[in-house]
Amino acid sequence: MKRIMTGIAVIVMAMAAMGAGQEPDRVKVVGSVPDFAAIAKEIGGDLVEVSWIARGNQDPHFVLPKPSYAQMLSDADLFITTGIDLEMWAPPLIDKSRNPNILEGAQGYVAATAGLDLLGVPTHGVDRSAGDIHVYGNPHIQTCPVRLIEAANNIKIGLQKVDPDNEEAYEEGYRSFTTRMRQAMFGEELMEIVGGDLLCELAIAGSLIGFLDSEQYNGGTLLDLLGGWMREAMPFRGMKIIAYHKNWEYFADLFGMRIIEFVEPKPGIPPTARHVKKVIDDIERHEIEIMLVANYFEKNTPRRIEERTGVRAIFLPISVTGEPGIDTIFELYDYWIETINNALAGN
Amino acid sequence: MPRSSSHIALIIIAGITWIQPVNAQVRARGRPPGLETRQAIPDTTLIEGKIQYLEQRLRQLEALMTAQQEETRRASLRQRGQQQARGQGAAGQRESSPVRFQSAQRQMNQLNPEISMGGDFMGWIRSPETVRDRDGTPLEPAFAAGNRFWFREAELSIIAPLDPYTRGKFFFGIPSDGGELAIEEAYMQWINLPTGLNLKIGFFRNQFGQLNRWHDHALPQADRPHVLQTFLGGEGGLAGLGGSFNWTLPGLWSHVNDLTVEFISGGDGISYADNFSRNRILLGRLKNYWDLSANTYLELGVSGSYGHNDSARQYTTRLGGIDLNYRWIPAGRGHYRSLEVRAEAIGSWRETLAGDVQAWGGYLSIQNRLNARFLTSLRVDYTQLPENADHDLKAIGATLDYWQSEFVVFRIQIDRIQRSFAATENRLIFQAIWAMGPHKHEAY
Repeated sequence: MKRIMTGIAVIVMAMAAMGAGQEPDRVKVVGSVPDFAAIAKEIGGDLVEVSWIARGNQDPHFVLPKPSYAQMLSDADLFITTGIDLEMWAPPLIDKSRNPNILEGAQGYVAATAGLDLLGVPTHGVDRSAGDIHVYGNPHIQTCPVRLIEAANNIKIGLQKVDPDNEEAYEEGYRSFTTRMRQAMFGEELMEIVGGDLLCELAIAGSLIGFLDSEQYNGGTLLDLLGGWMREAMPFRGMKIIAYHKNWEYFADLFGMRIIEFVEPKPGIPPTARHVKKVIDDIERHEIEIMLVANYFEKNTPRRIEERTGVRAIFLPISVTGEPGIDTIFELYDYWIETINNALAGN
Repeated sequence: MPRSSSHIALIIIAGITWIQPVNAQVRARGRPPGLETRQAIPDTTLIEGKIQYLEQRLRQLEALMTAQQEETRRASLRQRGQQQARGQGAAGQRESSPVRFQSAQRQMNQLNPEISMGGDFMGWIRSPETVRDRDGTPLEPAFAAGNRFWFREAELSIIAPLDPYTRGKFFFGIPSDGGELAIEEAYMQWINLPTGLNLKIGFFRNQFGQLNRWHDHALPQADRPHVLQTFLGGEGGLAGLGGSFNWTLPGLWSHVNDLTVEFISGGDGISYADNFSRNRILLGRLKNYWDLSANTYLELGVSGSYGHNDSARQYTTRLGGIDLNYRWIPAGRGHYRSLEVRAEAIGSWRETLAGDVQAWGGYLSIQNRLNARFLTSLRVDYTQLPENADHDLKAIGATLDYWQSEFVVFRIQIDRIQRSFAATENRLIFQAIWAMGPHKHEAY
């Protein structure tokens, strides 16, 4: 009997020792795209373990809902998606996962675009004559850092719902992420003077630069104090550009570019010879210098247009992990702006 | 206030604030502070100390005042910014017409289900125009003979969640040749019952192999592989009324194992009597899925079914099947390049009055996406007839698809079908498929 008791005690102690070395369970977060997972990581830090479905160099419209993705979702505590008609492959995956916690409306489901002011919301009836149209508005919010900050709030709420014990940690993580994003967007000094909320509001309204330019401050204008991505993007502010697809609409809107034409004749419709001719004519007429193309689109047509007109086709990853070395949201925007500036400088 | 006069005022305030604590100390101790030190420290040093203190206080007060002024300035600036961001006198704030309150209580059409409609139009030229068996009897009904156009089907689908736990799906088919509106599938589905069960009840196509569940318009070729037509029936396929139990198992030997067990009243009219009221079929499928790399996967399945092949329920049929699906989709180029290899084989053990018949058949299909618009495929078929294994069919066919968009597809298919029991047939098929509404084919 004594031996048995000793044996049990040894086992219990060994288990306790093993338990002491174990890491606490992390919240399993799955993003429909890597950007949402990256934000969850920024907010949750070591409290979360993130994965994602569409890869950074993959067109998020077209993802085959494979069984292994359903398996990934079956273990998830939190699933983050746009919640609108970008990832039409998400509903069958949710159904197939058999995970009631991530069903639409459940506490582990986050619609990242909820409450956001989206571009391109149809004001009249919609039909397929407009191409593969998004009936709730343009879902490519990752090309807008300001809207992504708002989406981060939705992600924070989701994390707090599935892990209420660490509510304050997520709040702090969100505050830190928001501050760093705004500083990276507008520069520290301007954020200190004007405030991050207002700067974001002005940027979304399209009146930021006008306002800063009109406000006298310490012998100059507030525009002199503009820093961050907004300052770095000033060389291409006001430029006319060509984009392959509507996923650059937010970026152009925020950084003051004007998209003259898309390479796709309608969203989701491959370019036709006639439309390519029109694009070439537009480039020549408007003396357009750059064309933005997500790196998952075919390169033949942009290259052909480039050869014919001299326009610079810039192939950019649309998401985090879309190219090696781009592992955070900050690195993504740094890369875009630096690449566009380099292209304009002829590098 | 002018800057110089504000400085004087600050010095006076600072002086008073300094003097007050000194007086308080005097009162507390009964004699002026520093009296005992006055002898040791010269007056000039004391005055300098006072001046330094006053200067320090002055700087503090100036800083405080500047900060207050700056804050006022910034508040004003922010207010102007907010006005600019939000727009003064926005449309929502203006009232140029009388307020009328509307009701949404009679406009609940947002709760209507998703409704989609699809068309599947075909035309063919073939030689011979009418396929006959060795006795000269046509193999098909009269309406199917000859070179012709053919509206194979208009499909209506209605899909909606029924409540927080259940989904409902209806698919109606409307054939053009003398057919009537028919239910292709109608079922409700619970997607996460205990033990990870996905339960479906109603009328549905069965999960035997891969393509039996697919509707005609979604097939990789214009026609269903011959082995499926031969053993599981043509357009309707193996389908019935009953229940389908599906579990995703913990990864056993592959990355995902998926088990389906179905129990139905129904059949296909070939391997199983097409008698909804009496005939019962038990069917199962185990799917094994592997992610071979980031861009490729492999799926291997085994299926089996058991039921009666006559309406008197005297003779049984056992079907066994294996299926394979290999797919390569380069992630960054998936919209432009892909390769899919699909194969299925079915074996049949059929009891008849004349004795048992064993027969088998299979197909191999390779589909290659060339770019965003064009796909090609090649399919090779071999099948024996389930009632008579001495008769067989060999076929080879190739297709070229043109995807005008996700919702409009054109296809050209060329076929050669060699039957041991009839003349060899050559076909050129044209197909146009279109879809209206939100419903898309779901591969999984």
